[in-house]
Amino acid sequence: MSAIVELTGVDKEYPLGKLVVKALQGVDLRIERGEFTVIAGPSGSGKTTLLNLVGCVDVATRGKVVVAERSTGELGDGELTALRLHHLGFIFQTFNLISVLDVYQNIEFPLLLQGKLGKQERQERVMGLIEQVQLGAQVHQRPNELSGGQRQRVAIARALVTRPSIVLADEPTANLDSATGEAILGLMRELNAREETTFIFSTHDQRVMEHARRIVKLRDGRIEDAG
Amino acid sequence: MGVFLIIAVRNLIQARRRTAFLSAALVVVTALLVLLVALSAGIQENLIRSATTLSSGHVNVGGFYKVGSGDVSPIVTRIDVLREDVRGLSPEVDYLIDRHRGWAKLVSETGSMYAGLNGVDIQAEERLVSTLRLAPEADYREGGGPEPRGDLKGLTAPRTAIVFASQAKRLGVGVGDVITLRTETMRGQSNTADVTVVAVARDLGLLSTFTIFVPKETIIDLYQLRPDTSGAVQIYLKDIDDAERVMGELRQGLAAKGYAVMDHQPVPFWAKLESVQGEDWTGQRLDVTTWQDEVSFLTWIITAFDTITVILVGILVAIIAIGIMNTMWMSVRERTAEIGTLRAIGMSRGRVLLIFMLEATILGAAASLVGGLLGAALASGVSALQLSIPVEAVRVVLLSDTLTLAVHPGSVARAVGALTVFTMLSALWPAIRAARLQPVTAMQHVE
Amino acid sequence: MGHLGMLLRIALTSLVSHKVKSLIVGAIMIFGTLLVVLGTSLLDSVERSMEESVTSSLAGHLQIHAASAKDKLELFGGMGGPNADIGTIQRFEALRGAVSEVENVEAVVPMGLGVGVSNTDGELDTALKALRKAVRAEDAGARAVLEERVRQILALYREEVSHKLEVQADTARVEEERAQLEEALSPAFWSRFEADPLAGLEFLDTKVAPSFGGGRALYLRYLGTDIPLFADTFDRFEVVKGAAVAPGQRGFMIADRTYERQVKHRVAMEFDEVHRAVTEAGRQIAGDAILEFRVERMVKQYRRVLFQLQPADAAALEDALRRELPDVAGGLPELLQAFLRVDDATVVARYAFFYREIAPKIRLYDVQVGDVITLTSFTRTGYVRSVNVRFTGTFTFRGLESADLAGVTNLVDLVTFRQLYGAQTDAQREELATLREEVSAANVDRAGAEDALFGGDDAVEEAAPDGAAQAQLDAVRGGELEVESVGDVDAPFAPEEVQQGLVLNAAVVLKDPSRLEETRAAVQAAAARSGLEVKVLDWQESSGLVGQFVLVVRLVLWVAIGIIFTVALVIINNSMVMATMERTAEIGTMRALGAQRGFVVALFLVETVALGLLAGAVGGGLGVGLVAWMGSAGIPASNEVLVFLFGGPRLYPSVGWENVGLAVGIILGVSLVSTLYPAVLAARIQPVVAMQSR
Ligand SMILES: Nc1ncnc2c1ncn2[C@@H]1O[C@H](COP(=O)(O)OP(=O)(O)O)[C@@H](O)[C@H]1O
Ligand SMILES: [Mg+2]
Repeated sequence: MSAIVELTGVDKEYPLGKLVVKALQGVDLRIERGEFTVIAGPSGSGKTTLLNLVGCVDVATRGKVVVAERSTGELGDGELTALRLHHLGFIFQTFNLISVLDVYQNIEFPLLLQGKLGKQERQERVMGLIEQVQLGAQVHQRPNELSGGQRQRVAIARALVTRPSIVLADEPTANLDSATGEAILGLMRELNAREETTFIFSTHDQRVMEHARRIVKLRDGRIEDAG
Repeated sequence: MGVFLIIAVRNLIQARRRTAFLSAALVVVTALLVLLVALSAGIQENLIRSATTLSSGHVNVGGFYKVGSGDVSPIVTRIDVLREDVRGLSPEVDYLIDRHRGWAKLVSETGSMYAGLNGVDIQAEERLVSTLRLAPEADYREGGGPEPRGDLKGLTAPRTAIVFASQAKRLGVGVGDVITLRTETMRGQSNTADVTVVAVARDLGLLSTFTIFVPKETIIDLYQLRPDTSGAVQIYLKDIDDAERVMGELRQGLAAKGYAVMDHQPVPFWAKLESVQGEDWTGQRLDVTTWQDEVSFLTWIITAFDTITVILVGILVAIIAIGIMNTMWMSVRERTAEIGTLRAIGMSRGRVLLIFMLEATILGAAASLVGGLLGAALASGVSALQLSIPVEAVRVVLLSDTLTLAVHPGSVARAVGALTVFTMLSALWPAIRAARLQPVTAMQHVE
Repeated sequence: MGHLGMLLRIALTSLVSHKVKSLIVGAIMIFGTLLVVLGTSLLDSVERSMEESVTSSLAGHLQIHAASAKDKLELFGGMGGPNADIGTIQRFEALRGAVSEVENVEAVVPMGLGVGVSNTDGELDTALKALRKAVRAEDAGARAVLEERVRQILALYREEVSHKLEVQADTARVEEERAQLEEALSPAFWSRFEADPLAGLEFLDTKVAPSFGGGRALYLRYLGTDIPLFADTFDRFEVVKGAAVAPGQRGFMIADRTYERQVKHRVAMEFDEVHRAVTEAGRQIAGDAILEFRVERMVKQYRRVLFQLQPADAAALEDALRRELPDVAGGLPELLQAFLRVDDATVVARYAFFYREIAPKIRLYDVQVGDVITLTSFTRTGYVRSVNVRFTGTFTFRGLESADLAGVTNLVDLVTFRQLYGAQTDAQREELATLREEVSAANVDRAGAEDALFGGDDAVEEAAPDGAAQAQLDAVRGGELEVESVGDVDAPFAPEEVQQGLVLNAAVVLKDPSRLEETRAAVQAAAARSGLEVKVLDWQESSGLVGQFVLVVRLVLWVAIGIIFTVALVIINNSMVMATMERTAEIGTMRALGAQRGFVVALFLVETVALGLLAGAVGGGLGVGLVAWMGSAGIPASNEVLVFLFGGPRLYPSVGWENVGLAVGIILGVSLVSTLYPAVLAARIQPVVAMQSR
């Protein structure tokens, strides 16, 4: 199996006033296609930072990050954006739906950005996902009319609509009650199994980790256990 | 108080961009206001300068002499006595002069035009000599050199004249040339005098296009007047703002001394000729006026300009008010949580209001101060450049050939003050909204 | 661009979602559009109506004058005064020939501006004239009354002599005048008068009258033209009183506004003004400083009425006034003053009384229709010329009745104009040649020889600018006789005299004014082909200062719009930046999901353009509505200058597509510029912000 994500000797530093915060130090990590990986660690251990690097929304200070066979350090903003658009899907802790668009439009949004599919195909794809995340009744509701769980399900659908090779989820259940969180995780597992999409998500919740096949443990910016 | 000030200042610094943009708008508007006021003051100053140089003192004691009831001349008799009486009556007088008044056709070899004559004693006319600038010859004569020619003091000689560049150009004359002055009396009689141009002065706006200076004797000869007559006593005060008051005092004082004094009419002397002609008295009457009366036919320009300024600034202020309210409103929304916290730990409504108002005041004061200084600097700079105005109609309206802006610290301060107060007023509503927030609602605002 | 639909959708929805921002920015944009639509369409309308005023009164669409002009042609006045040197066109027939050929030219009207003085009679003059008539008619009764009247007037002049000594340097002359006056007042003079009244009148006319009593000098700015052609061509021209100057006749026409304002009896004129202000403008005298002042001035001038009354009329008026004002003590002077001191309650009734009882008894106008007036003017080089000409009537331009600008220029026939200007006709040239031989050159100032000599017909007198001028002018003045006896003023001239010869400028009226520029070039070319060195101006250039008015107002408007939009730009920019910052997370999310920077910029631009179009439509609609409303109601011209600019008492503005288009264009431009910075800021938002929990 080929690695879809490969980090070698990655450091990430943030300037903080006069100090430098070392958010990640000497991280080496390989994630294979189709894996369902949890990045675990206490708050401030560097989970989000790691996901940012993998998600191509940020670049490493040192070391090499290869995503879908592309070394992110060598890419410009436009190429990174294209990489995100075609290979990655995001599920955010705070859902981050586009408030002015309704459920259908939010899910359709990345497809429109891609501009590859015709209207008919888009509609089929979007409606299919809406069925899967069971939001058939809310198709034309705006995000502020949805509950937290519903919003996160929209986010999941949106992350999957482009059939990305990797879906990244940063603490997807942190803002949900535990029952809803469970349901969401279940859904993600199911999709992982069906679509063979690589899932990487972060959490510091012990119960969530039970769903994982592989658990990478972070502490103070270092990998404690690569799972 | 100190801590509130710190909070306000830090908040402004924290919301750097917002502060910067709002400041920019305030700076622009204040600078514009200062510029417009400076332009208006510039027009006013041009008007005062040309009026008090060319056709009037700060206060004038002129008058009309009616030989018969149907006749009228702008003449005062026994000028020396009158001068003494005037001097005795107003201690504020800086100095006074008297000038003869006349109206004549100027005729040269190649052209002619009408102009008002000022019969002056050039030795006594310090202000005139210091205000008039000789025009470079090139201004009025094709192929003329850049150096000015002639001498204002040449007017001490009899049968001489100082003309302005625009007139010299029209008449095709230069220093040393002769022009014929022709006066026409009511009965169609005419008298003429040949005068030699001793100096060509730079134009002083609209008024200078129809004014020339000649020695008193020339007018006395031209109208065949007694030497103890004159046109008007022109009084220059230490402070021009006293003109109105001094006029009132003179009016009463002169009447008390037995002079017949006409009722005040705020129009220039020549506009009174016709109605005085129809009045049924004869002999001498004095007419006391201020410089404003003598140029009242031009004050519409200042009124019009000020009206435009008020409308324009009104519109701008309305736009800016929207901007300030919007900004402050954003600020309140953004800091709802913070306000909630402050209220929760026991800060009173008044204090919340105070913090927001302080913020607006500091912003308003600082930005409008910068704008005021910027405007003042710009105005002074533009004025120093002496840009010439290409369109004749604009020259007429601005009463000057060059763009003149006059900056007064007082008016800059007023503009800055007004904009600051105005910023505070605009911030009032958002600030009150902030102060009205319930602590609980505010805390819950955190997502 | 499959994005466009989505961009639009997002843009529109976010406009609706960010209500406050949209409202603020939208309101400013609407206001801006409204301002531009309103400002430019009003100004365009003023320009159009002013063009109407200018072209239909004096200027025509084009004006032609000699290329050698030194000054600017200022038909409606300006800085140059009426004697501007615009050169001469020696042979008008050549110009007319060349220009008439040009297609689109309807008429070519010859013209020339000048200014003259007409001295009106003083009270002594009037009395002496009446006396002369009575003597001629051998009406003994009238003669006795008038002789007494002359003596009364002369007695009043005794005071005048002592006043003259106060101011005049030439005491010898004053003493001489005193002697002549005393002579005229002596019983001996009057007994001689009985015997030889004509000699006595001669003495009074030539020795006494010139020194005393004031007539009024009427300054008249005139346009010399082919009056019948002028009346035909400028269709707003209308005769008000009397008649137009007939073809082939000499004559002078006074603009009705000048006639009513300058020639009219001052008291009547003042009364007209006050009455008009109260009845038409609805003003109150009490508390209105200007009106109170006018009333006071009217009262002060009561002697202008008193002195014109015939003895019998005076008695009748005194009776009538006493019935009207029973409480007033004193004689006619007191009664008149009390009568003229009108207030809001009495003004209307007394105005009617004035015109019923007083006006018929006084000379309501210094010059009456049909009078022969002596017009004195100075040639450009300063020589005096006097021409007697009949005043045939007054005229106005329809719609511009109350505009001073259109009512200060009077009309005179071209033949008289040329005499006043000093142009030579062929006949005069011949005459001059003969005269040259006869007159010894020593008598006449050399440089002034031509000016002083030609034009020797009886109605024309000229003088060189030295002592001789005095004598000659006095001769003209003293010679009321001549005016009465001259038949020349009505002698017809051959029509070709008007068609040919000297003019100063010419007006060209076009069939289709919209092709002005093109025709202007064609006229210029046609003149050049005929070897005429002339300059062709459009109406705006030739009208003088007033032509620049629209230019100045336009300048002010655009400076104001510029300033307003600069500030609006800053404020819109400010609002947008803040809105952008509020949307940071959302934009970061889009970026994280794979939206390129260009997409974000486009999103902002689309949003602004949508808002701009919306605001433009609303603002433009409001503007169109407002102008349409003004167009149907009309904006009243609050003063006489506005009457001219509005081309009538009201302006009916209209709005064109170009006004709206311009406004929307500007507003879109401004909003796009003000969006650039926020858009760049938004594009710089890093996708990573989407990941940061808030
Ligand atoms: N933008 C940033 N600027 C400065 N420090 C940051 C930034 N983002 C994260 N950090 C720091 O890096 C460390 C790791 O943070 P993060 O990856 O967010 O941890 P986690 O997601 O596990 O809670 C923390 O100490 C955090 O304070
Ligand atoms: Mg995190």
